[in-house]
Amino acid sequence: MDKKETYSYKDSGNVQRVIELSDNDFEFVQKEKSIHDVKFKTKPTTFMKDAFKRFCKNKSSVVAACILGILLVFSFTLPYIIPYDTTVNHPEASFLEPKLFNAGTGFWDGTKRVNDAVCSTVKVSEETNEKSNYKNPVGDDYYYPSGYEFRAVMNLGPAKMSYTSQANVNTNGGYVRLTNTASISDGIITKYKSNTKQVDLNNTISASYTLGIGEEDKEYVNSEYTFSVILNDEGIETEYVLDEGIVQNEAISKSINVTESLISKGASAKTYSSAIFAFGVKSNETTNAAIYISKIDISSSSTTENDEIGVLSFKDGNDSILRYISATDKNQPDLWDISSEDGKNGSASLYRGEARVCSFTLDTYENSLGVKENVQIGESDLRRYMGQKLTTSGDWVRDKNAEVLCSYDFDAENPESTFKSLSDKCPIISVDQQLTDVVVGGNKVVNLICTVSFYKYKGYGTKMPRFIFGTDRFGKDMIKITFSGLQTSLLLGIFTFAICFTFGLVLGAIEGYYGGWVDIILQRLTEILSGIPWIVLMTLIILLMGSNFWTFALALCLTGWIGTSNLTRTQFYRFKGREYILASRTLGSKDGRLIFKHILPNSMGTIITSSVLMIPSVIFNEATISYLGLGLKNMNSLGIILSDNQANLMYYPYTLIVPAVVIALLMICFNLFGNGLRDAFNPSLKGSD
Amino acid sequence: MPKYVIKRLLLAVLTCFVILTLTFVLMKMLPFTEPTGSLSIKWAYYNKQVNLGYVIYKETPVNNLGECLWEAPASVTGGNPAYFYKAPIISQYFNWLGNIFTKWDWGTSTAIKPNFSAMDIIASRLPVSMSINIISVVIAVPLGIILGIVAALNKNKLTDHIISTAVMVFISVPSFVIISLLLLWFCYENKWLPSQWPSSGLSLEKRFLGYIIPVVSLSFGSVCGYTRFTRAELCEVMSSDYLLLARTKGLTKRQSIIRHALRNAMVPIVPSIIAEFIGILGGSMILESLYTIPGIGRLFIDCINLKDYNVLMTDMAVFTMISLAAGVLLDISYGFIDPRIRMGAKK
Repeated sequence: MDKKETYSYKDSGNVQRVIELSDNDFEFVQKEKSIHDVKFKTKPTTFMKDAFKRFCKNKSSVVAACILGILLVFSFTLPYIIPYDTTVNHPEASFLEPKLFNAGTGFWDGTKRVNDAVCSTVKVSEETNEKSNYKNPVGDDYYYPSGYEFRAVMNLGPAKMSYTSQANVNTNGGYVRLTNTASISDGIITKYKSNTKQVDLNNTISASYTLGIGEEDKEYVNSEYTFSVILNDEGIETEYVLDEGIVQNEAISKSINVTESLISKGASAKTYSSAIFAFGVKSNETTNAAIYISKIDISSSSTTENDEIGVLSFKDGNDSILRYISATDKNQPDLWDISSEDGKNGSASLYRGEARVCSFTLDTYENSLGVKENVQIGESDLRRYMGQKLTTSGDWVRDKNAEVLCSYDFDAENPESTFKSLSDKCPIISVDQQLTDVVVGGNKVVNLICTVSFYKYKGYGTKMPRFIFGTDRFGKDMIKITFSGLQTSLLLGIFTFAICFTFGLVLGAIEGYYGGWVDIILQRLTEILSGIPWIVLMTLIILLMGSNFWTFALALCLTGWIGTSNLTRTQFYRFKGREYILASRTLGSKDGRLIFKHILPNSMGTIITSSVLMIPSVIFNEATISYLGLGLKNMNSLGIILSDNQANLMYYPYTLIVPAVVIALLMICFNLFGNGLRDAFNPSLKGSD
Repeated sequence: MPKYVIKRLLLAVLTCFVILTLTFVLMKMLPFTEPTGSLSIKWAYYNKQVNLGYVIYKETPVNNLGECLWEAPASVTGGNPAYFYKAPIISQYFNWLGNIFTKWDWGTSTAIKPNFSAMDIIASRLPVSMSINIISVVIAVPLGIILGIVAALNKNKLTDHIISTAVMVFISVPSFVIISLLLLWFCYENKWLPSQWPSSGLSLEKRFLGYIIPVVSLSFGSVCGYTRFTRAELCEVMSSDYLLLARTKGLTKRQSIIRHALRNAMVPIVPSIIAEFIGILGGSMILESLYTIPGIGRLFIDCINLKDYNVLMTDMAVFTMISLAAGVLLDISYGFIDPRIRMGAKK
């Protein structure tokens, strides 16, 4: 048995007591238990969570982040959701106004006010009002405007005589205003050139022309003109300036014996294969120059030659400009034109033509895609609508798969009246005339003049399309191209950010951690690189390597990493002397461990928040350089869309407003989001914007 | 201090030299551009290039110099045909340096104004850019500082919120968007202002109106920048101990702000104003090409479009020098304005 031990002690009453204890009186409380750390009941908060909590408190940043998210989602979904095709041009749907409500609502309804359009000779009548959805006043003063579908005209105002700059068959008089906007003195002459003609200088060729003056307080000043003949002698072009001067105060008329002047200036009396008559306007360093050509009459003493070159004569400005606008073939022999290299710096347009003009509201959708008369449709097209297909033997047979949209009898005595529309989808409303031509070889070609519903004919479906933000010059949906442009811009931004961030981080870490001569050399390198204005550097790269997504990214990356690298360097300098680094080093850590386990995690917050702002700056730079005309080729980006539509600012401002609002929203949100991130990661900087 | 200034200047000159060298070499790697115009202009241009040492003239074709740039026909040379070849880039480079240092000849225009000196062209464009910039700096700096002070003194009140939000928005929105909207509203919708730069031949009133859009659009950025900067600086100073001391020793709020806070807040702002004045030499490319202002920013775009690389090179050099000079001046003026700051001092 165990030995007993006796213990004695005095209690509080100072009485001597004795107790006996043995081993059996004790037992181990936790003898069978395994003891270990207990999991925390509450979750510990990490730095990231803390930062996130702080970020959420910043209301404006959260809103910005949400808008950014929406834009991001839109940019990657909208281009695929919107059904309208943007891969090819749709000239028929060019410049449709934004439309959300039905036409006639007065707001966001796809209509626009057209002021002072040249009138046609068609008066408003009960009959036209009957055909159209919009009723216009009937009277002697009410003419439909020329060049617009009458069905699309509403709120037509009375016609009045006025000056106009629109060349039209109903316009009279006027001058050809030839302008030169190059801001270079004497360097560039914009020329209004005639088509090439063969001339024989043995004949007497004479030219008489009148030059007018324009109002001085407008954008252009009357400037020096030249009248010249460009002779081509077996491939060598020589320009002979026959007359030059300046028109001031009043119009001048001149008659020139062209043959005599040419020979006195050194041309020989022989036949030249090509001669070009040209008016020129000299550029002016500080102003936009213009001359005003009223008429020219060119004639020759030889009858045949007179017939040849006489067609170049024009009686007024409207005559010449209209001839060019309405010519189907731009090599037509009687045309005058501004040469393409001059087109960048100047233009030729009608000035002060006289016409009857009117103002009205135009339903752009009805005008471009509505009901159109006199549309010529081939037999095969109509047969297709009738559900027929051509067999190899040349017969039309019923196609089992095709839907029958209409019926028509080509061989009836009065075929036009046999047309019947059988479906909603049929684009043809009525057949007005059947034309049968017999071409060489005995084949019959049948064409039909129809009234068609143009949007159905062009394949927009059974309902009139509705472009909420309108279409651009090529008939592409603004909202779709804007968001696919945003997609390109974002991809470029994120791609550049990824590369610059990685590169900058590595280089900055090396500089900061190792210091010494590595640091000195790299610092000089960044100093030089950042010393070059970015626009200069980008221009050089793009000029040298062409302009596509990858060179663009390269050009942006070339200086983009400097910011991240400098920041990382400073952070590494800051942390590498800390005690915990020293402690880790004494414990035997290698450089890699120190960098990746200790310094980098500590400095990451600051680096990332500052570097995130690189994305908007890349988008900003890309937009700027695209805007200057050096942008991505064959791709849409926000900058390209903006610069493409800059020219439309005056007449179609909505094409510019949508991308402008998107880019502004993107920039504002990115900046707010970046500020919020910085405040969240680095509370000490809070409030210093 | 003088030692630091000299060191800083020398470094800037060196950086400028390296940048210009790089630019020159890269530019010369682009395809050679000929002047536009008649044969005689071309002949004059090539002869000048030969004299400057950028092009080699030969009477017979040779093979060792690469592709022949131009075979001048006998009709122009007045005798034998002439063959022109590109000189090696390295020798072109030294000739170029020599021309700059001995004759201040930066090259000859090929398209903008054929056979004119590039420096002359730039000098003729400078006054327009400068006049717009000077006016906008004169307006923007006081306005920006005043708005910044107002915002800082009303920190976290409604006024501050309105100013800060407006600054935020205008700093974020790209300048071409702002210019386009200004053009749309004031020129096209309401026709209050001319839609492009009025020519020098027009009346004084028209020309004055023509300044409004460029000055306003250039000022937007600077006003926002100064407002933000001033507000941040002043807020920091306002929470400092010495301002508390100033108030406790009995100065009124107005006295303490004018005598102590403002003066100290101005320390970093003044150098940036000085640097801004260097910036007035440079033109804004976007504004000038949108508003058709014949300044040096638009010249840059014209040069790229017309492939006039000699003028482009000189224009780039001007922009580079302006930005470097602004940087140096900024650093140096810190030391003069606040003697406590010892730029470049060792620990």
